[in-house]
Amino acid sequence: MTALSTWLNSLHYGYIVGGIAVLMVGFYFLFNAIPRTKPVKAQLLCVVGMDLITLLFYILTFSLRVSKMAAQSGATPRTMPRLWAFLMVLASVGAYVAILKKDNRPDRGFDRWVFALMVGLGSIVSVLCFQWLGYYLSSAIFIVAVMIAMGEKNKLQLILTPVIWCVFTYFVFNKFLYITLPVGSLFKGMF
Amino acid sequence: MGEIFQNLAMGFGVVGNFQSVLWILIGVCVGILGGAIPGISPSMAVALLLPMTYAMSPTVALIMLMGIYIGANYGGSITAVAINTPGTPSATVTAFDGYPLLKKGRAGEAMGISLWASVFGGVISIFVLMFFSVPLSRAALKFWPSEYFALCIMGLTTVATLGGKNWQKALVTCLFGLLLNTMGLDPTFGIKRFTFGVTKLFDGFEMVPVLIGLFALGEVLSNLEHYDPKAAVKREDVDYKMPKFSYYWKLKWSIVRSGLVGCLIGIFPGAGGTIASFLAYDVEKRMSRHPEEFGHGAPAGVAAAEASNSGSVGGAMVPMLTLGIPGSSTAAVLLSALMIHNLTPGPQLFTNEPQLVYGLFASMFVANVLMGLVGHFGAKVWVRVGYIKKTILYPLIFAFAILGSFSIKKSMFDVCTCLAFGIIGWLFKKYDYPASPIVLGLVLGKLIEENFVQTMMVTGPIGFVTRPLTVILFLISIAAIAYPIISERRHKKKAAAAKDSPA
Repeated sequence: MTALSTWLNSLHYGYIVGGIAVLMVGFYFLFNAIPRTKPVKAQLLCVVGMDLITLLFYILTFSLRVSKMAAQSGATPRTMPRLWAFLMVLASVGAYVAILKKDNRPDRGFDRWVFALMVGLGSIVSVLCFQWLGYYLSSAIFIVAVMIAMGEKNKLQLILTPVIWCVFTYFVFNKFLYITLPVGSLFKGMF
Repeated sequence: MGEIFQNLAMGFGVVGNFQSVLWILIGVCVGILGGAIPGISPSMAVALLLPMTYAMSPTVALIMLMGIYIGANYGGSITAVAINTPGTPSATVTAFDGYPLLKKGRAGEAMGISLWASVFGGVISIFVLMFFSVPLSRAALKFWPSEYFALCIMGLTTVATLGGKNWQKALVTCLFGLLLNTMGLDPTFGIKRFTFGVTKLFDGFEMVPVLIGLFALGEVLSNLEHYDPKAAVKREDVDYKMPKFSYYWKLKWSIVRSGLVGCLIGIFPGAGGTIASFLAYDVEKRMSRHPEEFGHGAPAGVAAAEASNSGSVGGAMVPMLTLGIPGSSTAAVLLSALMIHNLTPGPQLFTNEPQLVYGLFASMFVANVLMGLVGHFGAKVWVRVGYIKKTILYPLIFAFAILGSFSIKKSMFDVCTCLAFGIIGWLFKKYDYPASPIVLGLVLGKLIEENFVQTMMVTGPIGFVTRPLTVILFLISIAAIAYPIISERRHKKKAAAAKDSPA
């Protein structure tokens, strides 16, 4: 276990996230294939995801350093994660039983989830643009883009909303709270 | 008793200046605004505004956030009455009788009752808060680490199991929060745990992006998923003129009873305003001479719902201020606000920061008075808030959430944390996993670990069974987990018996 723990510890977190994602996909297909779990597969996957992280943390505790003093006291850096992991297993069993009960509500279907996710990704792109376009321009573009994507057609509102937002954030954050927001390399010389 | 009033006078001295009153007023207005917009809960409103308090002094920050909390609790009732859509979950019960009153052409009455019941329910809860919290904090100062550990465990289990029928899921999320809290440097020995080579994780997750993600982004992502561009809110063209003050006198006992019920329910971690309002409504219906009117526009129904959910605010503050255990999800956000300002929540707060604590009590009185005035004179304006276009609202909340998480350390990592927890919050909401237990786990994890390690170092494991209070608290925790199991079985037996019995 210690060898596995040390190996996992040496991995880049990207591989670990990827590994968990692959396992989750595997569980998705497994739950989808079983008639009893099919209607509640997403609810089960939520617990499975938390359990996989719990298992990962539990394994990783084996490579945590333990000082002599900690070992003597009986409470080491490993103790709490292991205690929570143990209780998590018990609670998960209860959750699985509750989800698999016949009277449990089946999973709700996805509505416009791609749209919601795209807005989330758009916000990341907007933040990545902070260093070039600056906070004000990139957030204004983000707001207008989301408004258009949501079906807003009123041109006045499309113009006024980002403008008022930028003025509001400038005065509140820059002038009042003294939190300077990035202006962006594109406009650096202008301010 | 005299000492409490003396300290309260000191508190009024702290908030008795233009700047503080202005911040409370801003907080109340923002809170009402947030509460009146369906989809913005009090915890979301407080979490969104939390980053703005960084530059403020802890007292000003806390009193403004408290103003938001109080305002948002009332704000939810505005749309519950006006468009039959509760702005906050705790205002659901207000809609039962508020909207029928509006339909009968008594919209002003409904709005007036909900406002003044909120104000007086809130004031009652502040008195209870003051009289409960001072002796409780003194008792808590004498707690041993093992007792504190057991108390935190009790808080977490009650939060998880009192949360409703999804208590198994709540328990899992609570433990998941505790597990995530172990990321970063170990609080006693300083050993790196589960940081995966990311230096930004040395202190664990930054609380503000987590809170904004779970409470604000999760909600907005969920709303965006179900957004229908064709859906339009039907405007009710009614008169919102409120009755004279003497009108409310006949509801005095309903308000007092419900305020007390709300406050007492609010004290229990996990049982927030929603449970309080349902319970107070039920109590009022049972005590009424005309129970048949409830659900068809009974003024006492509106009064009970609003007095109790406002009463729960003061109740939720009792465990938060005295023990450092939040009584509701909004109290958990307030607890994080205390930590952000380097204050340690718990009984020491009363001795180390009396000005802040009593200033907070005084600010709650001021906030309720201001809420009464703002609500009374601005009823027509607040009603319009519910009609704000979603195409404007959602992008702005999103932008505010991103800005809030970015502005703390100007770090992309925090924005990614916020988005990751936003997606978690969205999925949790979709599949009925409550988000507040995970926050409580994250907030209380360090405290639990420190007390656990201290107990182990001083007495060893025996320390958890030798102190009577520790044992009692553990037994309550076990009972909190056993209660929903037993009650579920009882319900099933009853349902089966009802099925079997001939009609």
